[in-house]
Amino acid sequence: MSLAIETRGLRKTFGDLEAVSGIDLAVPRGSFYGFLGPNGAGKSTTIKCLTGLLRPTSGDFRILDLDPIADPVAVKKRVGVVPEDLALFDRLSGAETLSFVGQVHGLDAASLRDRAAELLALMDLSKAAGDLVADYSHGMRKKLALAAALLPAPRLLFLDEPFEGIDAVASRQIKNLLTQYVKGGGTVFLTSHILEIIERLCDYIGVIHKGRMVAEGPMADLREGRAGRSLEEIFLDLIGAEQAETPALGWLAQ
Amino acid sequence: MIRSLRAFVWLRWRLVLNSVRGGRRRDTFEQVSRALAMAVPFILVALAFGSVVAMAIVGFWGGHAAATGLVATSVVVAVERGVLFGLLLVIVIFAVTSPVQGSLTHYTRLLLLPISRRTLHLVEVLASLADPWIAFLAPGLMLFAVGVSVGGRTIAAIWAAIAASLFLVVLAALAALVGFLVAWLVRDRRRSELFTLVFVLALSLGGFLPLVLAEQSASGRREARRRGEPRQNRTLEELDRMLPAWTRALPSELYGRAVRAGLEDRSVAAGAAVGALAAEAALLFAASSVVHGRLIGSTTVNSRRRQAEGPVAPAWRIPWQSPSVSAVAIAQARTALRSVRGRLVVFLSGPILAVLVFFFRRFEDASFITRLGDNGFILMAVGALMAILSAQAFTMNLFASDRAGLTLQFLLPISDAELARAKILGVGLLVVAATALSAVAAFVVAPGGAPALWVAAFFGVLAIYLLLSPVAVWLSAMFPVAADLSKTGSGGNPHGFAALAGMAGFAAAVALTGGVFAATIWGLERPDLALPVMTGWLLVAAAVAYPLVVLASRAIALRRENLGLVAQGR
Repeated sequence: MSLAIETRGLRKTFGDLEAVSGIDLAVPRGSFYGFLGPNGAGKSTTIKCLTGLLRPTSGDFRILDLDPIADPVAVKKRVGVVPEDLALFDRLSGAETLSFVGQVHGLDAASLRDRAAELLALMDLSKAAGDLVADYSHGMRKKLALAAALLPAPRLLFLDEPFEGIDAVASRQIKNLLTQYVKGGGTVFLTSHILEIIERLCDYIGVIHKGRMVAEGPMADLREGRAGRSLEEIFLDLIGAEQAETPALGWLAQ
Repeated sequence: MIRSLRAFVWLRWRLVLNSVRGGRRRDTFEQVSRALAMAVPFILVALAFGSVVAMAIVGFWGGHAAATGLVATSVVVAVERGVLFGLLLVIVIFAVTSPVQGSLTHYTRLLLLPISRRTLHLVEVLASLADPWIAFLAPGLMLFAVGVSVGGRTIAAIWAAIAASLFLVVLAALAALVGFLVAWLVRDRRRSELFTLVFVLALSLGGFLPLVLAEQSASGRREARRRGEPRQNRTLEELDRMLPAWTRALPSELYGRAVRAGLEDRSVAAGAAVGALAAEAALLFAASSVVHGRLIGSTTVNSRRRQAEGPVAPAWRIPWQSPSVSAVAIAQARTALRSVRGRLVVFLSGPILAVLVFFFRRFEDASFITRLGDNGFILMAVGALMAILSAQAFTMNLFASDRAGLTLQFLLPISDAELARAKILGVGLLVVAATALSAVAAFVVAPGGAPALWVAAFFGVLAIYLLLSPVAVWLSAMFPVAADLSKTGSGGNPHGFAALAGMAGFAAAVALTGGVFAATIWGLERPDLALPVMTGWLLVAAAVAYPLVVLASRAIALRRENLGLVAQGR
């Protein structure tokens, strides 16, 4: 099986805080991979390590068969990212942002113009294309970040909570677009707290908890022996939260 | 009420402490860098402490001298009035600029707390008392009253103490009122940025006003001497009578009247002045309360900067540069030009230069002006150097000032060396634009000088910028700050150490380049050689800067993680 992402013992520490504790990931090419975990589990840190924003403390990893440490520029040419902080210049307009990204990726003027127009229309941003990003709402920023990630037609997409703050119409269009993208051979590495989206879109799942992988594999394997249970129940079971008792907080009673 | 005040004091204290400590993701170097950045304000406070002590001593001596008759009461009070009026202006200017650069978001957060609006208003007004200028003034005013008391004039001392306390309350309420009013009027981001830009430009140009007035007065005196008129010596009373009637309502004047009446045993007059001061304080406090109510009741609605819609097209490409470098450089110049700091870099030095020269030209008999008329290129170079200096917010913080935009650049296929080169080019475009404006301003007021010398001076400016660039890249990578370039205050500044080291680098580059230029023109007396010499010097600077920028860009890889975290404000 050809892998889009492969990590062995990937570890990231900040001083005495171990955010990611030697995880092994195997994300097949052409898969829709859902990366799950509770808050603070290490999801965003893992994505930052894989996209070159953080340098892993130890471990090996390869992205699209390339070594990101040895040749980061080659990897970045093939990868699109929607990071946690959306990574946009406040003082560029939406159109200028796409122009900037396209130019750095070396797109010719005609491709840039056509792709940007299609993406802006898809994200319902055509009318706001001339506005500064500083004046965009959170949802508009998220859509622009996604458009910027898709513009160079990457082979692998890292999406950190892409549906958070996006309206239902755009969300549906983006889901369809991503499904088509995967059918066309692209790979999506997605984190989301909305488990219904993961359940509907993803064919591979990885669950991280306290910096360690607690489950990984095809969605069908994860469901094996757990017939009739929702992904939420399986997820809570995997991270050991199902048994956790909710404190009563008696003082809340009126 | 007391509980809320205590909570706000605690909040401010924790924010200061936590800004030094940072999060768990900070490495040791960043902790040191933050401590260094925090050390600068502490050093300033330590230095200012000396002035506060001096002010207090002068206040005590003044009070004692006035009470014992060592110095005439009218003279002591006149000095006090002058100082207080100056500080009144300073406090109003600070009050105008600071809220403009803030945001309404913190009000939204505070409004969610179970605190009455009245308490919130009182907290904000009391916070004005912590203004450094008021802190600078208070000990001097209070010790003046103590000095009067030690001089044996207890009743006069009581009047002075009451007047001083009321004056401080007036100042706090006035600062709060002006601050709230400006924040309310310019609550829109674009309006606020435009206001800051116009205000700073007006303030910079207005700074020459005293010089112009002094020159006008000197010229009047010269004219009178020429006509053989005797010199007029006016008394303080005569000068007072010349002041417009409205100045009598100024808090500094009311304070002066109360103190003087107290020292002259005119209790009714002192009481009237103190009463007027109290009325002013109450009026300002009430007005600030009304405006504060409006302010916290309003929401930020940003007018959008809409550009013409059309197909997305790539930005123009800088000759001899790759598309990536070109794109980053143009994005850098574009975003900078849309910030207050960037606009000041381009538009401040030219107009200041023009005003400066316009004023200097009034000195008809100054021989250096005659020379300046022949050497307008020097004026252009001075304007350009001012632009390079004011561009420190960019040059010494090339990466983190992009905030989230830096993450985007880190995710794009561009090497660190290319990124550094592009950033230097981008800020260089601003410097070139500022130099062009300075050249126009210089040409208007001092068009003399051979064209070759103008070009040579321009090459000299470029050489200085290039020589500074490796230092800029290294310092920006090592000492990043998440600056907000829409702010003209400390929030938009680079790291204190980077600014200081950058200044030293700038001075060295100016000394070297200026030395070469001056030696050619005035040392060798060969102005005809200036252009070839400066062309050669520019090539040398480029040859030195290029590999050094590549070398310095290694610091980006070394500090990439930290740069990303700082740029995100973590």
